[in-house]
Amino acid sequence: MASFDDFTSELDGEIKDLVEKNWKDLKAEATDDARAFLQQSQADLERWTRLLAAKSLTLQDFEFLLAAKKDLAEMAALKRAGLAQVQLGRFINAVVGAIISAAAKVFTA
Amino acid sequence: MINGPLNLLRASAALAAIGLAIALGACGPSFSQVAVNNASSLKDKSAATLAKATLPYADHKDEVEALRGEVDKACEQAKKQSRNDTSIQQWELMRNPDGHLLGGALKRWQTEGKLSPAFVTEVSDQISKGFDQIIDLETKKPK
Repeated sequence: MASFDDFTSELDGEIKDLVEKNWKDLKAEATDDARAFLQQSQADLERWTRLLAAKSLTLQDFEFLLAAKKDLAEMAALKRAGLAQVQLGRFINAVVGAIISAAAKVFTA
Repeated sequence: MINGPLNLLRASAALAAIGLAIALGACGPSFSQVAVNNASSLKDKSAATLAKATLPYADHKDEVEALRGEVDKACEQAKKQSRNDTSIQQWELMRNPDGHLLGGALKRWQTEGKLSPAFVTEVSDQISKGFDQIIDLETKKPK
């Protein structure tokens, strides 16, 4: 029976080929992104490949779940972008306070 | 009398500074308890509805339609909040029928009639994590 190690070694080769063929200009970044995605997904991938081998999941199920994982990664990226916006908002609020304080000191003294 | 134009200049500058402050203050999203309640409630309802996806879709069509309607409303609610682009995009990802979170899973159930227990368990887990991302972002916005 195929093991998860067989799967990851097969996958590693496929990702290298993919990066070589289509993402050569961004080789380092593309490889890092792919590895990070795999690392974050490892526990799920192990379980899903086991369920696939046991025929509890079809290949279509497996594909759908991987795409869901990609959507979740996008959700997380949106959350990071939103939090950065929140931080920026807080910084600007502090700037607003400074502007008002300076205006009060200079123009109303 | 001599101070008249100077006072006018000071007042104009003060108004300009306050105007700039207000304009800058309009940056950044703000917290909505309604959005958190929507996401928390829909997280539970989605899990409960999807738990039935091992059964024929036709038997649960009304429940699925009601759930879709509530997700649409939550998305519209998010659109009413100003400067809320990232949260809106999260809701759109969640409800997209051509995507692979709640909208996509419900469409697949509808298309295939019923889904396998293993798939339902796994996809529900991903969807639940998606709602957590929405809630997490909302709760970190300034109140």
